[in-house]
Amino acid sequence: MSDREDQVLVSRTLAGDRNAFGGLVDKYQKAVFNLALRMVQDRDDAEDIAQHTFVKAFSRLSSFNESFRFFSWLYRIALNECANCLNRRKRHEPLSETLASDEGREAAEIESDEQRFLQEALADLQEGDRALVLLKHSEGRSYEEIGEILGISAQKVKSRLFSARLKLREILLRKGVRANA
Amino acid sequence: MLEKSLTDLINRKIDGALTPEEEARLAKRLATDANARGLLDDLSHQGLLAQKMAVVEPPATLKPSIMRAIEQPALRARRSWVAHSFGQFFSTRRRVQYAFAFSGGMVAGMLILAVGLGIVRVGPHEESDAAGTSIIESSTPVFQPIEERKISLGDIQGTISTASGRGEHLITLQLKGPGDSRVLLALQPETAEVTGIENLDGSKGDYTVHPGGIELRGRMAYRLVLRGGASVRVTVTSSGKKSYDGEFLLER
Repeated sequence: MSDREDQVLVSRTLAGDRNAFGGLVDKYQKAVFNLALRMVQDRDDAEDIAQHTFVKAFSRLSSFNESFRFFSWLYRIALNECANCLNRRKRHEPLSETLASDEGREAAEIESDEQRFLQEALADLQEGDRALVLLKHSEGRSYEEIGEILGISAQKVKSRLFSARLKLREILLRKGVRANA
Repeated sequence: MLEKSLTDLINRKIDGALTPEEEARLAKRLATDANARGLLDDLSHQGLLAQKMAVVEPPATLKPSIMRAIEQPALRARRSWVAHSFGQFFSTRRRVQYAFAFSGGMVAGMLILAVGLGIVRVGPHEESDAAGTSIIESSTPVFQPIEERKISLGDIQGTISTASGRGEHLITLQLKGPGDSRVLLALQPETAEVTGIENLDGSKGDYTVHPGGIELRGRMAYRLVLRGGASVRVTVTSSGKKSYDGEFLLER
């Protein structure tokens, strides 16, 4: 489904067709849920975040600027919801402790030791850096798309992503993960 | 320590954004610089690991819960439109007397209509016990017990019981758990509805009724009357984790 088809679904939703919004949920629920799961590394929280994201998107749809892509706008809402969740959690426990539990590991469905180290390293990254790495490598978004989601220029995405990658490498090296290791 | 121009080239190489001339420049540098090669290998490797992260299917309940939730603002909007219209009509102090007159007339009219149609019986009850307890009308459902399940999962303890009678159902939750507990009751089919709710203890909490179900937050001691419905799925979440998920049949 193209950006144009998203715009049609948005217009139909604004005209009162709830099934059209259901179409947008069908298309993006997996991506939003997985982004949230990787950001907060807890399945129940990810489910709540995905639900709040779509409900907020629906209630604010009339303010959506059609010159942007719908998914960029949706991802931005999702990342804000992740930030809110992480802020609430900061008062209780660090993210890496959540992941260290068996439940956290199961939730993130980690397949190998290297994948587990990557999840732990991502958890140790700052939230903004984690979002950049995930949007680029897991979501395969371009600098421009990431810029649109985060509300910064593509140039800034590039420089921040480079520094996020270097920080991630440092953490992975401390865990003994490197190419050809 | 590698200079910034070299790390930039390596980063752009990973993103496949190098020009042929930059590719050649980087290749020349990599041939003689083991640190640069190590950095390129590590960053490529971590990029690949991130790409290969497992994609998890969202829960099947996600879309229905979203669609139910977006129905709520619409219901509220409709209610507020009605409230607004009445508010407009009775907006000025001068009209308050009209409001009382209007309300009184409406109540009187409805009573006369109800008596006329035999909905309200006037006169002595034909049957009552010595304490004056009202008779059970033939139209009042008598609930027959169907099931009682003891729940003892993590920090959630208690019972959930169901009863049924003449198309209506009673579900009684007597659960104890942390203050952040939530109970979601999803009725099947979704055309079924919650017609009554009674709090069985004095603890704090609130609830939201929506088409096809109800969400209870905080306290978990309630008696609910449901109309229609063949089954109800009860999901209890506490401390952010799903503690109980079970389906109850509402008919024998």
